[in-house]
Amino acid sequence: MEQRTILEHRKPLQWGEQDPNRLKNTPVGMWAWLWQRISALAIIFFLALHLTLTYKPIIQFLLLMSVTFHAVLGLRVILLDFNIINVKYQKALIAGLGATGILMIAIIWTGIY
Amino acid sequence: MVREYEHTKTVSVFRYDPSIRDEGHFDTFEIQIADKRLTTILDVLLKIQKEQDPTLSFRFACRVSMCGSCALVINGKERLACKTVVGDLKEKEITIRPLNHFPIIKDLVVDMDPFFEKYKEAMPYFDPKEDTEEPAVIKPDSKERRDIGLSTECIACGCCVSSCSMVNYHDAYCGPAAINRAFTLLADSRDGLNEQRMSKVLDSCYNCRTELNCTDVCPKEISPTRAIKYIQKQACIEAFRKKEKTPTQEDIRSDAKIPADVEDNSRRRFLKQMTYGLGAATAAVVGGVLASAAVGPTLRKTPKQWIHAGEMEGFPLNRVSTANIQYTNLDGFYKSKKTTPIMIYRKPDINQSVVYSSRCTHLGCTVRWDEGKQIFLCACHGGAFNSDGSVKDGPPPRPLDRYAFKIQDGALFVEVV
Amino acid sequence: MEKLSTDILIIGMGGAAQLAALNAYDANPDLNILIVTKALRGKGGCSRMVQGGFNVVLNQNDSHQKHFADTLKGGQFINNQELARIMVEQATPTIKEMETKYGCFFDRNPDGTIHQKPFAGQSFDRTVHKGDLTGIEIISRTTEQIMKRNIPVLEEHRALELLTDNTGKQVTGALILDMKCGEFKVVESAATLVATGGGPTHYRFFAPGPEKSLDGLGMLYRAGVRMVDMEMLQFHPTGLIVPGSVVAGSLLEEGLRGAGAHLLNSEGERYMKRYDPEKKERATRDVVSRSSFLEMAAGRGYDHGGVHIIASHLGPEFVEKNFPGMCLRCRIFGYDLARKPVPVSPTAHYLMGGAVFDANCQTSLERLFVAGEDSGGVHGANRLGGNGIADSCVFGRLAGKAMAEYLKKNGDKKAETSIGLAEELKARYTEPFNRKDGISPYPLRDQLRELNWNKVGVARNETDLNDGIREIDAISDETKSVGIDGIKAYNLPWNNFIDLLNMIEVSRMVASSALLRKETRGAHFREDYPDQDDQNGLINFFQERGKDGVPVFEQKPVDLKYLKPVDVKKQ
Repeated sequence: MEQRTILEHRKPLQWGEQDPNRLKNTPVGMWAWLWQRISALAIIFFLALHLTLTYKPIIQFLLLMSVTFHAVLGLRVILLDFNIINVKYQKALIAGLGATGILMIAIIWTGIY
Repeated sequence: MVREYEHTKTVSVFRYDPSIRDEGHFDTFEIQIADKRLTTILDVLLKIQKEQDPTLSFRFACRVSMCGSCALVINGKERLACKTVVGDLKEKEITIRPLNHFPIIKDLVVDMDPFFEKYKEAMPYFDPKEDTEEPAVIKPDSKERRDIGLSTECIACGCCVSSCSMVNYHDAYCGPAAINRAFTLLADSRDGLNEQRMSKVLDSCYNCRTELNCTDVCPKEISPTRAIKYIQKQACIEAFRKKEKTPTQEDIRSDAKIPADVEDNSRRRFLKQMTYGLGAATAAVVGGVLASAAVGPTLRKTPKQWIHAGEMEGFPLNRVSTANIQYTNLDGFYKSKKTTPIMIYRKPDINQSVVYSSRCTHLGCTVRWDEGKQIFLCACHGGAFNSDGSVKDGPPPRPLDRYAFKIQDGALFVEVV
Repeated sequence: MEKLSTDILIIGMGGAAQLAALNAYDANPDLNILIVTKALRGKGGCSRMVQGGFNVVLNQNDSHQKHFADTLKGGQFINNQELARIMVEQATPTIKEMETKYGCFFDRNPDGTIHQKPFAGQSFDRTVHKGDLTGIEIISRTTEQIMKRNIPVLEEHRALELLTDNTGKQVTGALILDMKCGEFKVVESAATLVATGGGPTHYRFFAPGPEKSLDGLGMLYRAGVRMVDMEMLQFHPTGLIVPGSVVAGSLLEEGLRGAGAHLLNSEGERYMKRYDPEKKERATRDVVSRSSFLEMAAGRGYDHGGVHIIASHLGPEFVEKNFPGMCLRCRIFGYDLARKPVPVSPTAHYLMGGAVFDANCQTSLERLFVAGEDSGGVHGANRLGGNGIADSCVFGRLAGKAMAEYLKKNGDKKAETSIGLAEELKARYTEPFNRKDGISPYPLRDQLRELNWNKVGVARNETDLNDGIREIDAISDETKSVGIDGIKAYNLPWNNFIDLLNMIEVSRMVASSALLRKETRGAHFREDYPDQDDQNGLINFFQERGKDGVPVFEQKPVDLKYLKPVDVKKQ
């Protein structure tokens, strides 16, 4: 019998596992996706707060912000899904929609409030 | 010496020894680099291998970014070692790690079998539509060739799969590279497996979260995301094609290896019906809401009712006092018991007395009477009303609303709607 | 040792190997076919690295006769004319099958027909291509077809030796090393195809991928296969110079010169005007390489030891549009191909010589087939750009059909492997692990590369060649003291050691054959015999391993079956 060393594959590394440089190299598209999910959670949270502690300006502002960002990031996916905007402009799209979001927040907050 | 410092690089390399079977760790090497612009990461690895640690393993073949063997995670991003020069990396140190989502054989070498298994799921092979010996005449500026572009130049390096954060959460997801290949075949008018391929990859496409990581890392500058979106769009277009072609005898391929997908038609019909259904439902909901908002108030049938608010003795003269009224409100289909505060400013002349609604005319917060300042204050946005109800300060657009009232048997009744 | 058994064993997974597998399968789907490749599926081999294209007659104004004459003229008439004819004639159906059966899509003319571009040494523009990355299109598509047919592939398994029966006349399979875990396997087969490709990486500058190491030729020679014209080793004139990097020597393809790029020496002179006033840079590869080498030798090279290629006068947009792959590769290293000169040097590229084979791809041993760069004789003294992938694909395709046909007749009687052969070979390959403080194989490999470059390179002479052979033998002796550390799984130094053994084998063949040819012909340039001798030079040099390991040489005049040099001169 010849001697055999038992060899085993290591289980796959997961995304970002043992990867000190991953965070700063995460592409902007991934952030867009992640922030849409985070803003969804934020909406639920602030909506609950809004219903219990009615008419606190700070909560109203945060709610407005979450809703707006959730909306513009959702719009991004729709625009990309239906190929209304070519995928290659996705970074510009995120920047543009982000700016639109901020503008909308500013208008609503100063104009209506 | 500054010069020498510039040319020394610290390189951390992931190590895994299959005979020890541990979790893996990073080894750090110091290497001398003559020219940052002319030294690729592959050179760095070869140098370490040759001069410092001969047991280091990594994979490479063509060294000119044509084979896709040397894909690694270099400084947090998937790149080809042969295509990345040290000068490209902004970071001071170099960290080299194997690709994500693939089992590690040794050090930087991963097992690519899962990649090819998934790749195969998308039927990534050409199957001629017609038996011909002559190459098809297709203009290079035709729509299909412009759509396909250089997407056929994928070298199956696995960068996209490694960068995707969805592939390992969805077993059915065949991954960006496979979908990209499926797309180039779906767009190719010469291919005869469109139907089956579409039904195989369409499900996979919906696992994409539009993160575009794959597009970002592709060393061949192909966009798998574009491919995914193309397939989704194509599926919608096909679902809406007016006449669904019933497959003719020639269309049914007798290739025993690739069984015709029976689900295909029902899937398409389902998709179509769902799209119609959801479209109709959305239209109904949106239309309903808009319509009721537009015509709703004129149709309101709620009768006016007089509600008892308290005995007149309870309201001192020349003062503002608060009372709660309770009544049943019918708003649309929704019947509710409501308790609303009202404010009564009683004057000696009963006809000059006023009953105010406590609802701020700005956004409906409840206002309260400030006895000291002799004004109504709204806590929400700082609106203030004078004692006659007119706006004194802040955002409210109009004076406080008033209720009609009457006095019957020494008791105050207000009219609510 | 694990034992596998199959009908057809295919070693390698480049163009030749894949087309052989596909055609053998299509001829008889019941055959058990096994592909063994040193790299991952479809990723090894030089076919994938083909930039230029595939020479084929498709146009009505072109003819097989013209392509044949060009090939012979390029090869200086020592080609095997029968094989050259087959290549030229079969190239047309091969490329059509690639389009219609395998789904390749080559670049089109504006009217939708296949575009063909000019290449050096051709009387008609007949090179079919896909941008400047033709190999990726061909290999990716054929790899998919292998996947479609479920033909099993052993990835990262390198073949070490061919196994033979007791007589040594029949090949019974191969000894395989699983690189992933370092274990040996024996594959027994009824027919074996060696299609590993050559890949002369035993030079300072080389164009093939560094994982190539002439495994096939080493294996074939040790098994006793007859070799032809091993001195004919092509240098490509424009290998990129990247000092200190492994990328050095990678190609800037011929299309660039075909499109009109110029070569300049350090004095800024367009020196090709002097060497070939008529064709200038569009002369065949042997001529241009030799000219560049002589310029460099005369001290008219740049500091980095090369010359410059300049394409900016063609217009930056034109260059970027037509040669995107090359522009990109130059850009990585800070060179701007479209606007500025780029340093280049001749680089070892292709072995015209190789195993002798016939129209059925059979070699001098029974049950052994060969196709692609491992085979010799098709290209004579110099290969035309674009004929390389044509050779691989055409003969791969024929080999597949021929093997299926062969097994129909001889499939049932399998030969017995000589007993103990596999164990003996295995012991030889694991020997370095027993030497704990042996030397590293890397310095030896580098030494061999320098030696070949200087003594058996572009320009050769008797003294250097004799020196070269002596030094190769010295290196060969030193390999006996190489020691390897670590586990066998994915052990790169060990694989380099095995590479080195094959390189030494081929270096020796090239040098000794070069010594025999006392004239200058094609890629073979002898400083001491600078003229082509058509009276005595139209011969082929054969060699094979003799019984005691000493090579046996033989020479035979070329069979000028279809075309004689005088016929061409008359035209």
